[in-house]
Amino acid sequence: MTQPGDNKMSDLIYQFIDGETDSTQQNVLFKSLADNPELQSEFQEAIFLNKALVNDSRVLTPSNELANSLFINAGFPPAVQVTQPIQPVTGSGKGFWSGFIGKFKSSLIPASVGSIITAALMMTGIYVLDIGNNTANNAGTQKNTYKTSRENYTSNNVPVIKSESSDATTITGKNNFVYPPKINKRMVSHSPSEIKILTQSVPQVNDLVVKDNASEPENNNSKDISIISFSKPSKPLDAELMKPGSSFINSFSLKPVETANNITEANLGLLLEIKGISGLVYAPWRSITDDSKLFMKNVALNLFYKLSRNNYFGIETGNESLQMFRTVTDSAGNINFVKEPDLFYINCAWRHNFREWELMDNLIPFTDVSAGYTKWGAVGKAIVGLYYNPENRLSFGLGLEGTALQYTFQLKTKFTEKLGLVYFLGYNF
Amino acid sequence: MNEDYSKFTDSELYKLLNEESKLKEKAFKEIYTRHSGKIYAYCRRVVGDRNKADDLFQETFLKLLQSISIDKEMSNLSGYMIKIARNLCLKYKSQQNVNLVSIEDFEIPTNDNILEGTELSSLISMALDLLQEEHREALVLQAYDGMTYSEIAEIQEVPVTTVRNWIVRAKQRLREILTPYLIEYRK
Repeated sequence: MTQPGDNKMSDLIYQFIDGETDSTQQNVLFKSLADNPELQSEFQEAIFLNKALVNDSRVLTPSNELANSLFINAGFPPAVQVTQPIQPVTGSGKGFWSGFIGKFKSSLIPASVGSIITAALMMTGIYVLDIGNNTANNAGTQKNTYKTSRENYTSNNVPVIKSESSDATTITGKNNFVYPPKINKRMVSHSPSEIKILTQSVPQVNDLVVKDNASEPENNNSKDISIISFSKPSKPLDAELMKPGSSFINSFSLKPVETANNITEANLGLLLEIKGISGLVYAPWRSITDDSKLFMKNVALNLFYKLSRNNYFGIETGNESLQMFRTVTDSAGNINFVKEPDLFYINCAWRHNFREWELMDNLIPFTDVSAGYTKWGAVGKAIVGLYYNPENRLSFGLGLEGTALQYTFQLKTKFTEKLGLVYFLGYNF
Repeated sequence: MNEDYSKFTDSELYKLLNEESKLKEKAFKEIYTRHSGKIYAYCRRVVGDRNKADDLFQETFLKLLQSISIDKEMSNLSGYMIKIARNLCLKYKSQQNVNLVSIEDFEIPTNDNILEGTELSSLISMALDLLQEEHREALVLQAYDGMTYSEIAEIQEVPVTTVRNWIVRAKQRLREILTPYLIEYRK
């Protein structure tokens, strides 16, 4: 049975271990301990408990991740080195490159998935279209040099059309072809499968058959026609002018005709795109959290109006997460520190296609620049990438996007930047 | 010039938090190095839930930054930070529905390795949960943050004798709960 005095002695044990007893209390305690085995046992257990608590306090240290998160939220660079290394610090001392790769690693999965899908679509598109071309070549009676069904003509890529007529004339000498003074439009059939002879008398210019509107009635039965317009030359044309790349040939520009079977990318005035954004790396080298949410979280919708064949202007709206410092007070009054708040943005965007640098017949380099505003602050984006248009309605893109957001935190202007892989699917209409 | 911030007093470091960003950052790092362990242990053992403790730990340091004032003299930064952490923890706990577990329900599954390393830490954590709030907090401040009874009394705003009683009762209770497991651990 526990005696009242034992309770007091028991209390003194803990006070003594905590260093909270005076010399008188210590003397009393030691005298009791000397002739009380139960108290001795309790004393030993108390000492052991104290050691266990001390050990536990040493185990309890903030992780490097927590330390970095705190420093980022406080507006400082991550500071792994200041965490107290009681526990092994994983990943420390890996060196610059392994650290650099590590920054990308967590985002590589969603980025890779998106890019692989896009690349697969691009490659599949090219393959299918190649088959289509071969079929057309085999089945058709006309020489067909079309690479794809998309019919974009650049100044150096004037369609090559053979005449069905044996009477087709080839210009061989100076003044053989005089541009009719009243004519400023000519017709050319450019459908590989339905090339029509529009006129027997019109000269064939380097395999280009043109129709004189004024001298010949328009062939209304001819389908898949487009109008080629060019400025009237001031003097008669000679054969040299008709060579590819000449100023005359370069003066051609395509004006597509709206027919059901002749929808070209160029005659579709709007481009609607859905864009996926994968975070690759954040600057200044912030740790990337929970990459699993990045894949679906970062999406955008673009609507472009075509100013010209190579220039688009439109709006881009989307949701993206950027690493930044925010404190958000919820309805209950709690302050939450948000590392990657949703960034809903609306930007004005401009796109330019570099068709003159076209790769593999149908891969067109492009750049996008956009700027706008979010609830956190101003945001700007820039993309460089490749654009693929396997057929006139659909397009695919893959690019590298840089994003910068300016915002205010604790009354200071801050920036957060992100480099990401973007991949998009577009529909022309 | 690279100054050795470890030689600065807490008061000096606190003042440096008012300076331009580079000095501020270095001062903050030094404060973090000195006090993060205590604050973290306090949050972990008082709140229990690790994720919430992490949040409160961060919030404590951010509150410290927000509290910076040129006019303010900081004589006891450690106590000040503990008070911030304490207020945050109390606020959090007041919003929680505390489910008390009776001592009879306290049973820890054992296996061959349970009493090694972090398992002991888990045991202590669970045992601490069974203590009364005030007792637990007083014990944590004493055992984990190394505070004296009088310092704890100041923070908890109770007499020293009360703190003494709380800590002694808490330790006696812990010993009662943990003795069967600690015996295994001692072997």
